[in-house]
Amino acid sequence: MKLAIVIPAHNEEKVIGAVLKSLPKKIKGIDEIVSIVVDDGSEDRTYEVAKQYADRAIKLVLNMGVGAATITGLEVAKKEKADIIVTMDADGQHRVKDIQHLIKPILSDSKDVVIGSRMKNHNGMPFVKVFGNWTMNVITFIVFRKWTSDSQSGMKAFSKSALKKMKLHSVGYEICSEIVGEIRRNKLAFTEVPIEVVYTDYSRAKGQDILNAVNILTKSIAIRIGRQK
Amino acid sequence: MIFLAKIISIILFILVASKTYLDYKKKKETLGMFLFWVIAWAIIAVFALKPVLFIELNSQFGNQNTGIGTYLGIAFVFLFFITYRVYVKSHRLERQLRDLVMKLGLRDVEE
Repeated sequence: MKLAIVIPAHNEEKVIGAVLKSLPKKIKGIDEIVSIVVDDGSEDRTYEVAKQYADRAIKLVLNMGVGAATITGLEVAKKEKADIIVTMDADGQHRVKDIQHLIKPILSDSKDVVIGSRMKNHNGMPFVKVFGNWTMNVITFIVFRKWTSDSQSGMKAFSKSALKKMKLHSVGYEICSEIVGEIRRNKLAFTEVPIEVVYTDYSRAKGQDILNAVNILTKSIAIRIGRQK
Repeated sequence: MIFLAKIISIILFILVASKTYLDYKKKKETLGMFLFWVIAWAIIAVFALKPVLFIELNSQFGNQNTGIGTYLGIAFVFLFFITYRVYVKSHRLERQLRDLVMKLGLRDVEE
């Protein structure tokens, strides 16, 4: 059983090395772990640092957005013939020990997609983030008609077969909502597991702008309308 | 309501003028484009602040029988068409650019 950990990164030279070094070398039920970093057109040394510590480092020549970087990473995971694929943020906000909780439902063959939910236990999360996440959950539900407690979580796990079925086209942050839409469209077995988030000044500054909601809404609607054709 | 529309027009004018000025300073925009947007938005702001100017101008051209509603309707259709064109073009370009950038990234992996 092969696990690929996909990490999209943009201007993360300060933390990407530490994140990659902290990745687990062994997980129960997993024979091989491959880390894949997709540098989304960074202006700093993110790519150079990633090349040093990741198994695969891909450089996008332009900063397209987290959606394009994630999809590129998922494509590499497919080429690597990974059985389970985990996505996580590069800013160090996700705890690597949550990876094993995330892949458990896929390892037991009961689920196709698992979302790591920060909202199951949002103690310590700034109010503005809680409000923003709930707003995005509602927007995602209205557009894609699938409820999740944390639609914008960057920490997810997919089975190989689920990834094969999903058709992703996002460029930016709308990727998270599009994935929720694909779970529903493909009738994938899905669950959420609680994850903890490490909030530092660095990760706070890196988070999504609440005004991004408008952008995600319009792009999600465009994706939804496009899908109905 | 009219007062609010005037305030919004001024705010939008300031936003557009400052943004194009910054783009011009960063050499992202030419002087010609900077002047075009500032003059265009200045005209819009003047008409928004003094709508009576539009009626006077209309009658000076001998179009007393054409109501302001007709002009508004034409403007609405025209602007909606431009919005549609810009949306389609930017959406298509974004997709093509994304595909190109992804292909280049993945090509490096294959090599």
